This record gives sequence, C-alpha cells and structure tokens, in this order.
Amino acid sequence: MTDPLALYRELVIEHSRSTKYTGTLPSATCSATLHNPLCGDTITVHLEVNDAGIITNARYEAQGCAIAKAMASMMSERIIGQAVAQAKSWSVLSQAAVTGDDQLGFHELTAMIALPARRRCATLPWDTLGAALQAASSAEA
Amino acid sequence: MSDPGASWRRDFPALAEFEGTHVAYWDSAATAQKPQAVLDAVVRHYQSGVGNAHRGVHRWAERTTEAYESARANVARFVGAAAAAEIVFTRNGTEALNLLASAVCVANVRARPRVVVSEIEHHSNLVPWQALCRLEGAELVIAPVDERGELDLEQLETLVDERTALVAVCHVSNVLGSVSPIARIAEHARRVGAWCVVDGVQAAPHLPVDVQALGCDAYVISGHKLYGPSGIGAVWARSEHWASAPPWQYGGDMVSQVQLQHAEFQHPPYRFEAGSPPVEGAIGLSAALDYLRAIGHDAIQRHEEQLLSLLIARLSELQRVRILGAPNQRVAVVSFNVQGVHPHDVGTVLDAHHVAVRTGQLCAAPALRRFGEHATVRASVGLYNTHADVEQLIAALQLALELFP
Repeated sequence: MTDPLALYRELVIEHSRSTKYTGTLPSATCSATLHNPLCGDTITVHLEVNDAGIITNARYEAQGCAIAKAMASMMSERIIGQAVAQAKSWSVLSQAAVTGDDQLGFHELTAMIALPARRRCATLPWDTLGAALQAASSAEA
Repeated sequence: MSDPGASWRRDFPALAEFEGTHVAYWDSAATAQKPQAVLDAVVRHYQSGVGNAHRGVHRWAERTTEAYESARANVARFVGAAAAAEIVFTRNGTEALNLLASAVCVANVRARPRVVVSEIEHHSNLVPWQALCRLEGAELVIAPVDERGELDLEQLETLVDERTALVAVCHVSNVLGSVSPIARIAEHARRVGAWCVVDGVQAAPHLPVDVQALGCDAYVISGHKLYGPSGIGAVWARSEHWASAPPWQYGGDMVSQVQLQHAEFQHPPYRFEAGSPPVEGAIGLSAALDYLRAIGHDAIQRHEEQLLSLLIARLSELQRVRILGAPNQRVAVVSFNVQGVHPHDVGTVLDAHHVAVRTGQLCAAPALRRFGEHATVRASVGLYNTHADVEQLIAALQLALELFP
C-alpha cells in the first residue's frame, strides 16, 4: 500500500506555504470564486488574459486546506503562459486526473488516488479556473 | 484501570482488529457503529419472511406489523412517553424536525409569530424554522451562547415571551457537547404559553431521556446515532399536539376513508406516517435500545465521562491545539482546532493512522462562526471507545503537528 501522506511530504506542505501566486491581481481580466459547502473552503482565482488569448498572469486567494492551497499554487505555475483553450481543457481533465487517469501527466493530481476523500479539495482550484475562464468567454460573447 | 469500553467494543464486528490494525473510531456523533445484536435483529427479520406492516391478513404481514409496533412501544419506553401513539417514526432526525416545522407547529406559529432558536443549532434545527418563519411571516430570534458555549438563560427567557410560538434547542450540542438545561427552558416556555422543541439527537446515545421530567413538548432522536440502522428516526410529541396537527405527507396508510374527491385521515401516529413504513429500521433501532438498556445508561455515562475527561486532558497538553468552548457539563463531543493545520489535513493525517474523526463545518456553520472558525476537528465518544483509543488519537495528532511544523 502506498503511504497516503507521501503526497503531503513531497509536495503539499511546501507548495501550500508558498506565497508566490497568492493575493489579488489588479490587472486581472477575469476572476471567479468557488465554495466547497462540505468543508466551507473558498478559492478565488484571478487571471490576466491578453488579446491573443494567452494567460499572462494568475493569482489565487484561498481559505482552505493545505491540499487546496498547494494545488492552487501548482496550477498557477502550470497555466501561466498557456492558451485559454489549453487551460480550459486541463480544468476539465483535472476531474479524471484525481481518479488516476494520467492523460494530463500532472503528478500532483494523479497522486490524489491515495486520498479519495480529498479529491474535491484538489479539484476546487481547477474548477475555479474553469469558472473564471467561462466568465471571461461569456463576457466576450 | 478497568476499561469497560474494551469489552463492549467486542460487541461491534466493525471494530474488530483487521490484520493487526486497531481503528480508533472517534466519529460516533456522525454515525455510530452497530452491535452484532442489531445486525442479528435485522437479518432475523428478513430471514423469517416479511410482509408489509398494517397491510394484509397473512401471518407475515401480521408478524411485521407486530414487530414495527413493538419497536414504537420500545422507543416510547426509551424516552418516557405516556403512550406509544405519541411516537412517530421518520427517516432521520432531520425529517423529524421537518415534520414538526411543516405540520405540528404551524398553527401555533400562525397564532404567535415568533420562533426562538440558539445560535449553536445543527442546520437541521435551524433551517426548517427559517423556512417556516419565512412562509408564515414570523420572526426567527436567535438566543446567544457565551464563550464557554453555555446558553445565556436570562436572555433566552427574555426572548421567549408571550408572542413566542416555540423555542427549539438541542439537548446536547453536536459541536461543543454542552448540555442545555431543558427542564428550565421548558418550564419557562410553559409559563408564557410557548412550546419547547428539543433536538435530542446527540443526547439520547449518552444521557437518560425522560420527556416527562424534561417537561418539553417534542423530542427528536436519530436511530443511526443510537447504534441502530440508518434510515430511521423518531419524534415524540405530546398527544394533544399530534391530535390537532394536520397531515404532512399523503398517501397509503395515513387515511381512514378515501373517496375520489376527498379523504379522511387516520388518528396519530398513523396520520403522520404515509406509505410503507421503515420496518427494518424500526426493528434495528429497537434492538439497539435493548442493547443499551442491557448495559445500562449509568455504566455508559460513567465510562464516557471518564474517557472524555481523559481526552480533554491529553489534548490540553498539546501545543497549538485549541478546544472550542468550555461548558460546565460536556458530553459526547470535543471539537478542536490545530493552529497552522487545516481541519481536513488533520483528518487525513489521523485517517492515515487509523483514527477516524469528523472534520469540517459539522452541519453547524453558524455555531463554528460564533467560535471564530470556518471548520473544526471533532472527536466524539461512543461506548466502545477505550483508553487505548485516546492514546492512538493523541499519537496521531502529534504526528500531524510534526508533519506541519
């Protein structure tokens, strides 16, 4: 059996304490906030998207557990410089990734297979990203 | 030191050691494990052949009816009801409170448009009253608790006045374990003509319940927290309250005469139990009550009090652990927060060390907010918890503290 706390030791604790991508983003072009009613956690994602549809900057505000914060931090790292369409597709695929589907190749998400009760914590930032991008495209349309 | 929990624990097959793993189950306030006696009663019921209760003349239907009605009588005895007909079965505690808020208490709230609840109620004893007050244009008034988690009784007695239809409070808080002085609250309510509705879901597994001595108007229990099956709850109310209440769900079994355009309804309790009843749940709950009675409430209470004191003493020794509230009398639960570690992360580390606790909002978000938290960790006691379980919980918490320096 794999150690369910390995993910904490390897990634979660360090990234949950990183402040590299935390806070607001005055230049944000879109934002969204999602809430997990099960635990009361809240995540806000702010994105700066340029005219070419590239995410040029990202920040998050989190009131939540170490997993949600760490995933938000690692997600920010991954999406900056990516096209909106790419980030949208990752947001959708994150749901399957936490059940072990390795299409994305994001180790932090597939490692959630060991912590089934906490998958929602891991996908909350990715869902919030999806909501922010959705908000941006509806505003354009 | 003798530990009766260790021998009672052997009555619960789910808690048997598996491949050398001892699970410390500290989440009985969410749902309790079931003793073999409950499992046997449910299996025996099905193995001996079922009929539907109150329907049919064959022997299986008759036996099922008898088992269901004797379960009702057993619940009546358990809470000290004057008659079995004062007990109505529901799906759970929440449905019982909804029955009160959507049928039994409605006329009263129309006549006296004020409902008082405490600020630490479980969502199930808050949201149904919000809905009733909104529907009837009544005022929902919140009675405060102090830093210890004790109701401010003087203020409560000012709030519960001649305009008040009812005061709804928990007997034991699912967040703090504080015990509400129900007899005093009910006496005051009666003096001003209001009803006292009690959410006894967290109290009934731990304290003896006597609705006559409490002097309340309605009392709610939940089967799965009483070591019985899920899907069964019960509500006791005074027979005069049932007698004047309209039905709340309609269909089979709750009617006395049916025409195409019109129906007449059964007398209580059947008027409030539409459809095929939860026979399996009632039989399992009844077996659970027999099991508790055989051990004795005094012995259970003594053991649980001792365990809870030990647990609180050991928690208090840990750095960065803050216990919510400090009530005069605490039963069943202790909630705490670990500085710098989110409750969900505490829960995951504990689970990795075979310790089960509840984490999150505990279905009581306003109560947590009152104590400055969004989420918490709750350890709740069952009769099968042991001194070893305390040490396993503390050891796992120490590992959580080390993991999150």
